[in-house]
Amino acid sequence: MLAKLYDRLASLTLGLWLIGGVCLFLAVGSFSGGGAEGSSINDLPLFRWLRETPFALSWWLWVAIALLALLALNTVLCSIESVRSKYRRTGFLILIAPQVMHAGFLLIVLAHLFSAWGGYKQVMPVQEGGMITCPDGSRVQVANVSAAMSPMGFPTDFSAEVRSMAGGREEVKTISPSHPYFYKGFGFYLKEVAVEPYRAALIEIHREPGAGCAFAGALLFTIGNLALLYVRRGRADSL
Amino acid sequence: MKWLLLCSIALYLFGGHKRALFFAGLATELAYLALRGVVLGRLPLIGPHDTLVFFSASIALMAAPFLFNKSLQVADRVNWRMSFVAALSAFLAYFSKLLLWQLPPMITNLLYVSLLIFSCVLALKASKTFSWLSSFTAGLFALLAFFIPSFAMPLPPILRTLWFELHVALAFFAYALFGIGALLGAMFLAGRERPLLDLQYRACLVGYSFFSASMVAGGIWGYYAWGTYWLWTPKELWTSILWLFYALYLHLRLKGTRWDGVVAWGGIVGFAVTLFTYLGVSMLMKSSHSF
Repeated sequence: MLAKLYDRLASLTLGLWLIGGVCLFLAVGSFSGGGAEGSSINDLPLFRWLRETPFALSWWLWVAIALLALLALNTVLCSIESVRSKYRRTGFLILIAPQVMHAGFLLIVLAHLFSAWGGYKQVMPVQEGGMITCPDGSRVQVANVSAAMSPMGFPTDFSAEVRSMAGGREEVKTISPSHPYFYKGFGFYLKEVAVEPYRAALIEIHREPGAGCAFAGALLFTIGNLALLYVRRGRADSL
Repeated sequence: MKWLLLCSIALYLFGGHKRALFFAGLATELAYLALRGVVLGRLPLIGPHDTLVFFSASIALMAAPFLFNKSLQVADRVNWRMSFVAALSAFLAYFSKLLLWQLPPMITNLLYVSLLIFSCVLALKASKTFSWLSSFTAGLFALLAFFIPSFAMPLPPILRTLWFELHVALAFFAYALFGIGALLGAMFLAGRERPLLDLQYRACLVGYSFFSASMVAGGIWGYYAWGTYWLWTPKELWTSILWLFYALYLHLRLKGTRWDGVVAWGGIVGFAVTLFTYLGVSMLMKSSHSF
């Protein structure tokens, strides 16, 4: 019976059904209130959002996560079976490239797990010269808020300075859109500035515990992908 | 400047059978994009007009290598009259919305969609040559772009990073290859020639690689711009769906030759998912990720 269960869990057909199922429930979620733009799903760590949101709004994500967990297991088992069946029968790259891609995918799933558990987000307006207290008690000062204005009065570019103490020395960094400041595991992002009636900045503080894992997964996936393209460059048959 | 775009549309829709005219259409369209870039001072990758032109050019660009593939250089008779009518009805579809503006929107939309479907069916019947089908597809999207006003807005500060440009460009290269995969799938279903299915797989595999790279670039951009490599919005959800769908398609090939028909249809359905991800989400759903 265990052998039958293993065969089922390691089967390609199950994998295809699971992928289809995840697609279906994500599609449903995109039309639901929970997955819509403006819902609170992006303001909280995912697991906290799932706990606090009514099931009527989050059911699609519960189902998608369950299917994804099964798909992750299926991926591991499929990779094991693929290596077992092809070992010493094909070239090294043909053997390893899909498995490296699978490993990258699994690392990305793990990254989402880390972020869903330990993510942090805080938005705060800060006047020029004001202080931000991080969750660990350390403090960062926001200074020199500046903006370049268009003739129509809209900011075309803006920046601010953040000052922190690192290793007993004061560190000064300039932050601007897409150029955040990273301090003690937290990212400080400049979202908006105001220059009238006083200079102030809207700062977002983020912590993404899964970022490193996601990047590693993306790198692995890309390497495996390139290897697969190289291996398949002359052939157009199956994976 | 828009006359360049009109030239490329005419070359695509009325001259796509001939490789020289196909490449002339591509060259004119690239010239238009280059001029747009000079005027804007950046790559023209924002807004419905610019992205549609970029998409159209990507289709032609990605189709170009396939034009030299021996499997696609089949002796196929072209029904010139039918192909001309197909191109004309595509033009009429877009003009009908402009000329019949006083009619209720439901009627003009119905007429527009009917004429478009009619032109696509005629195009398929006129010729099964890849050159014609891919240039017709590129022409349709360029024609759609022609009637949408272009904007000269400056790039918002949050988009001023190489990762954003890489993310968008790679995504459109992927979309184009998915479209080419759909065309090849349709040609396979019409003639059941195995090399066409193999080419579809190749197009979709390279498209999937571009799309994966686009998602990586998007994740890096998101981390630096928004503080996270992932946001739960309709656009990201449909991006994941599209990526997973093509993962499913690529694995479907392992089921064997009995599933060839399903695989071919998979490539066609995948392009429908692509169009919904690109156009549907931006037009029908509330998303900060629109165009």
